[in-house]
Amino acid sequence: MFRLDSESGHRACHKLLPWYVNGTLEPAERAAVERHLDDCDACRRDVSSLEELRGCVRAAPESADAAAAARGLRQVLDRIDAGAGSRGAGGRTWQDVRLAVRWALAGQAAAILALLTLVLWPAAPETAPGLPASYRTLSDPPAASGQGEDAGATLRVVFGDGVTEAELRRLLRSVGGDIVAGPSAVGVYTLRLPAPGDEALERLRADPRVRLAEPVRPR
Amino acid sequence: MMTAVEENPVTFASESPADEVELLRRVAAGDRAAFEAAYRFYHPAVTRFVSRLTWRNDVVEEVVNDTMVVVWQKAHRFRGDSRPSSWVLGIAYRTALKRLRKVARRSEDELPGELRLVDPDEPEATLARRQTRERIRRALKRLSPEHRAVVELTFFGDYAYREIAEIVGCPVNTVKTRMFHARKRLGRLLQAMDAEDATRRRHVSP
Repeated sequence: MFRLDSESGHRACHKLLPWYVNGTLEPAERAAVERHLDDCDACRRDVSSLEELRGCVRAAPESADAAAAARGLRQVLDRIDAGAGSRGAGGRTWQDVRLAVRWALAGQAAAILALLTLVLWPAAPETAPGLPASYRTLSDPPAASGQGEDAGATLRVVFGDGVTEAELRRLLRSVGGDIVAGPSAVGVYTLRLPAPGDEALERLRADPRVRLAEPVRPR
Repeated sequence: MMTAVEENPVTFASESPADEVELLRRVAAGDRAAFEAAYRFYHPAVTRFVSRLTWRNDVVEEVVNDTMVVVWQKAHRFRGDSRPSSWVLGIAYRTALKRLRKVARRSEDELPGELRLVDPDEPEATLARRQTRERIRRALKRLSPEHRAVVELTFFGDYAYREIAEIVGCPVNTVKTRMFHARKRLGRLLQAMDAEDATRRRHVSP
């Protein structure tokens, strides 16, 4: 038990106020804080500002949805199967490493910086505001490709900095692709090709105006 | 029971600690079905905590998955000296900090994976109140992750300071001190924002 009527008592009380506000103090501490609050204007003001802070912090991002959990679980089980399951071993799967190397080789410092954000890239603003639905990995199929099986391919592409819109359109016409999404905040376009995309992919990768081109793996 | 979980999402009110201990014991024995159950059980709370800690959509999924892989690998090391949920959140905490150190931060206000918030009070809130909250959020983002973790666990998860000490792996007094400094810094940041806004108003309407 402690006394909170001295200067050091005031400091001790001040430090406990956040947990007074969230209701987790032990009964004895709580009683001591309440006694101190009767006599201390400054601490009473702190309680109301902490309550404001609490209200603000609790304005939460939307909860993780079941789809995000299912997707995450699948990815984690894949990693465990791929060897991350050996107890004590950690790290990434070979797939992650290969992808990272390819992206790093793709060039300029900006692209490498972009990789960090690309591997899990933010959603386009028009997607649902909920957090888990609004991020996706580079290899996730876009929402639009969910309807039925077709022979086409989906690619994610980043163009060089100086590429004009006219050049971009010409380039797309040459491979017969359409932009179905993008550019994302980090400049990633999602392209839909009517035919299997190997040839188009090679052509895009060979083009100096294209910084990165990656196929989206079908599920 | 369900509503308690929804209102207080970082805690695990829907299952008794005894069940969680048993779940981790089975995971430690290599039981995949148990791991799947553990994954589904911890996923919402870990996701929320990591989101609040990093404020970045673009790393949340990766950190959550890395955390759960570690749970699979290290479940045999869980000794039961803390609550299982604290143990899992502790792994999430360390994984998130490690990840944040790697991510090149462009600027504090313009992040590529910026987290968007849904404020349940927002529609009815007055303009002034919304501005206050927006300002507090901006200030929160500028705290160090270590300070932010303590603030988030206290006010979002309603954790006692002893439990927070278990999660972040430091003495109880350090938790109190971090909170103390976080509050001081928040106060200073909010003051600075007030001053900035006042300057801006003078420029806009001379």
